[in-house]
Amino acid sequence: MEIGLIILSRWLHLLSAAVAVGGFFFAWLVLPAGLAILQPADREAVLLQTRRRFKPFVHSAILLLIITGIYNTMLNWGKYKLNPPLLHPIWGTHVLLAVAAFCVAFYVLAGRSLRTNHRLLMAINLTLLIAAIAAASTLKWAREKTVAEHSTPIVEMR
Amino acid sequence: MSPFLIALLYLTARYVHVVAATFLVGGTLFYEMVVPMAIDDLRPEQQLVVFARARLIFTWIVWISCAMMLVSGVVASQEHWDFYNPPEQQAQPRFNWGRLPGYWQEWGTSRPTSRPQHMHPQRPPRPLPPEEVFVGHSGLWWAAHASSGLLSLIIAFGLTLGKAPHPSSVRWMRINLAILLLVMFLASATRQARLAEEQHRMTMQQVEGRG
Repeated sequence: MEIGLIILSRWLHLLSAAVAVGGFFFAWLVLPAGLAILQPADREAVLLQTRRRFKPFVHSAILLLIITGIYNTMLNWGKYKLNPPLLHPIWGTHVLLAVAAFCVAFYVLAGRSLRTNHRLLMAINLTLLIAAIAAASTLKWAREKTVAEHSTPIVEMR
Repeated sequence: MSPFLIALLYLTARYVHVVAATFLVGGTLFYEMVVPMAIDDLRPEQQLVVFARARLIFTWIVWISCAMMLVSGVVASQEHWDFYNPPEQQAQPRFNWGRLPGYWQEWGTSRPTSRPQHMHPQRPPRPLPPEEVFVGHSGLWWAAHASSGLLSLIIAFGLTLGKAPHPSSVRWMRINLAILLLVMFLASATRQARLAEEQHRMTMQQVEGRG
């Protein structure tokens, strides 16, 4: 049961990240290219509609990222204690980058009209999210390496 | 190659694999679920042009993502190959393709009730704790992840071929999105099974070392 929950939690974390990163990438690069032929008024109307439709996906993804992130951290906290000087800064960087990306996402999707620099904000958000993934990958690698190096006795022989 | 460069290569492969997957999954979801509703107010001919232009850019993203996922997937698999194909399994005799006619003849005349041992190598039993039996052998999860992932990449690649989208491309895109979600789930399961085996191996080594 617990193993199923661990797998489900990790899957939801990855899925939410995919929705956020892929969605922002599409909204930043692909959609504007598709809308380039439209009149400015039409283009803005479509972008506003896109933002309205995209918002529930992003908000759900952020909620799931926070819940599954807390659960994953609780599961691995014991491993992080094995080598705090290495693992805690990487974990902190991952969390800080994610929180910064959430703030930018909330800001760029808030309000009734488009932000004047919404494309720049989306690019910044995408960069933050990709950096957060880099920190997560490094964290996972460092955590597995630390666990492998620590040969603490798990089964005590009588 | 130095250990540092190898570690850097594996780390980069993992990073690239995840980023490419997010582009593919998130982009497909956005293209299929957000864009159609957002351009609903435009005239039909405008909708077609917007879709076609977006598809042109998305094609490049799909192709680059597919290539990145294949290369990084091979590197990541190589990193953990020892778990997916354990040494005790490698020691077993393999299927001999050169003897295929012989196998066929044997099958046709004697109708064995079970497959010959050399066609279906058995791993020596390795005791796993009961709570980890659910996860099973990571090699099987990896095979499921790799094969379904390859299928989804082929579908994604096929959808981007041609100048105009196929009439049933939306339906195939939905099917592919479901497969991609399954692939991600299998990736999580593979990782969990591998970690369980890693933990088990360490435990057994410690037990043997102390015994």
